[in-house]
Amino acid sequence: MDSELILIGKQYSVSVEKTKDGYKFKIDDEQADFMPIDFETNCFKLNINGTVKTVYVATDKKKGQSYAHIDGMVLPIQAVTEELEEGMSSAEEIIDGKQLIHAPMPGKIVKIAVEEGQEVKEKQLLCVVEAMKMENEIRAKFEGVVKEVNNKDGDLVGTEETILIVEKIE
Amino acid sequence: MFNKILVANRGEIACRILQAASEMNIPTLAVYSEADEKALHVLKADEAALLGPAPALESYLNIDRIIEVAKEHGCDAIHPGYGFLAENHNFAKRCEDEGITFIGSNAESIRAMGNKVEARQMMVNSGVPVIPGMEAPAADAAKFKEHAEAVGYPVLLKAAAGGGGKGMRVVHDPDSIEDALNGAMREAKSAFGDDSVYLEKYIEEPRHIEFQVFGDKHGNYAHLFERECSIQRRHQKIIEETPSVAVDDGLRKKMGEAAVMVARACNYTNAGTVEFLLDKNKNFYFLEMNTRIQVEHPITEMVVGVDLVKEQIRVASGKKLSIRQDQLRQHGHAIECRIYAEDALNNFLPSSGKLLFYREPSGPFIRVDTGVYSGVDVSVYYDPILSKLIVWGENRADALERMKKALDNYILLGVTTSIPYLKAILEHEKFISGETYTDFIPTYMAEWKPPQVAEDSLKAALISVVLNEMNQKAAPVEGGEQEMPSPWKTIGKWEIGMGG
Repeated sequence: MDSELILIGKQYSVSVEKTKDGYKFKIDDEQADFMPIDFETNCFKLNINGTVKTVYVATDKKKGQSYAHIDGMVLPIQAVTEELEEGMSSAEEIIDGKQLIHAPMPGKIVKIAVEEGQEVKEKQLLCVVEAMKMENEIRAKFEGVVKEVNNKDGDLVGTEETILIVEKIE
Repeated sequence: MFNKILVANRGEIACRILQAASEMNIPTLAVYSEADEKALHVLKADEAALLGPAPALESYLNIDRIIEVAKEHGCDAIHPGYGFLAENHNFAKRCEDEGITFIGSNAESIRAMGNKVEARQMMVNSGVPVIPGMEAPAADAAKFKEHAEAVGYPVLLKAAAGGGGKGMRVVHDPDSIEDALNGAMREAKSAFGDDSVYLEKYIEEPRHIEFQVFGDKHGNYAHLFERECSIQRRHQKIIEETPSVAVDDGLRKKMGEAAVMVARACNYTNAGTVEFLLDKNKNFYFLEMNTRIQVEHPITEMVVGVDLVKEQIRVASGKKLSIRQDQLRQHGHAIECRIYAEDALNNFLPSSGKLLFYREPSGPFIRVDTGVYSGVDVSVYYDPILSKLIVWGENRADALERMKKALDNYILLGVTTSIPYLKAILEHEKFISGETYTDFIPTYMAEWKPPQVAEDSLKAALISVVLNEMNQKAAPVEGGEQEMPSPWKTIGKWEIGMGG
């Protein structure tokens, strides 16, 4: 079985083949010598070059979004879908060096702190969204330029809408 | 004892209360909103009743509806949990008027302590130390500047009706007072419907030390020692422990006596918490009294060996306190981590969605107070707390080690949680050395990034995703589907309002 998966901003081709003796794994055409030891629902133990790691996995099929728990951390893994290839993802926050700002939950925009075309520094305040009765400050993830501002102060926003976009300066 | 207890709350605390009632063999009624039809507390209760639509004002805060439901179902007591109506003296009074026992303190003590300005004055009169500041709220920036000059910067702006960090601002200089005041008033208005804000001196490097107190209806009081809750983000606690490394026996006795004095001053008649700030020189100041069971009550239960919720129920029914000050001891060390659905990398924005997979850590001295299960939807309507992880150890180091392992083995997939962040705090040298001040998070955690994941682990994660998909295709029935069969699907919806 072949899958295209995105993990921490990088796309991987993952191939798993069931063989007579077990499994054959390939990541980006490179053989991976992992030995699955044990299976239970949503849980895999893999022997990686002598080290045994336990991975818990669950997938939200509708969104093509998986989560893997390993080393005490949860890694979000996105399956590449047609929508994603067209660049319409709503799940990923940073796509191709652009930070897309969504409301964390349906809420009200208290303040838009930047203008279109403005250069912003890392951690600069972009906007303030009120949700859960708390004011949430949303800041730039990196130095960049504000490409789009789609809302104004006082707007009610859902989670699907993009409030503004910041593009990274390379 | 009571015929039936209505639990006017949701999430982990509702489940905690239901557990206590069930161990006392008291029938229970859960209430829920349309967003919580499949919530754990609804499953756990003996009966359940729908309150109304998802927004809290139309459900968990709807006093008329809750009273109506209590009567329909023959409930003679209501436990409010924390949040929602827990500190609403009108609700407590309404219960008293309707002949329903409110499992908490009396309405008058809740009212007096709920008004932070009045509470402060009461403490001044009783000789309990308070932080210097304004005696009444104001709306005029000039007045705030005047008082700020008098007590010295930095100062703290606080909502008079508030708590939980909402409507709070720290101000370091006169120039920023006006913006901070406007922000605090706006937030206070939207959170409490009251924009009264006042000012007090901001104590630097303070520790948040609170005392669990208990009163009964016969004038007996006791305290169950301290909890240190200095680890806070945006003035909300996320890690609590007891005992505090900063409190020795002498100070403990002094603060405990002050806490009981506070409870006595307002004729307190159930479980409550007296919050103090402790400064570098071991001076302590009364902050406020929380007139309810606290989120972090389990660490006290672990160290003192008293079930606080059962004691609440007993005392509310008119029984005398079953605990006596001279019999209470602290044993070992307990830590609690609050597991929130939130993104520490994104300013703690709450996250929501379906909890695809859920597994709790287990082992000796590990306790999980949860409000969720695999397959449940984490909604956007309420406080994003999912559960609390509590561990006990023979000493602080032992408890810390146990907590770190338990966090590693706590699997929640589908919504972002604070677990990696909590672990990073526990691993921080300043936490380990006990240098825990309320500014710990802005001071030491601002630059936090999740640890780098090893290349092999990334690969293992990728492969597991594909293996999981293959498994599901191969065995679509047996555990393949992500959507765990909720008990609701197998038993169907039960009839609500039996008997009538």
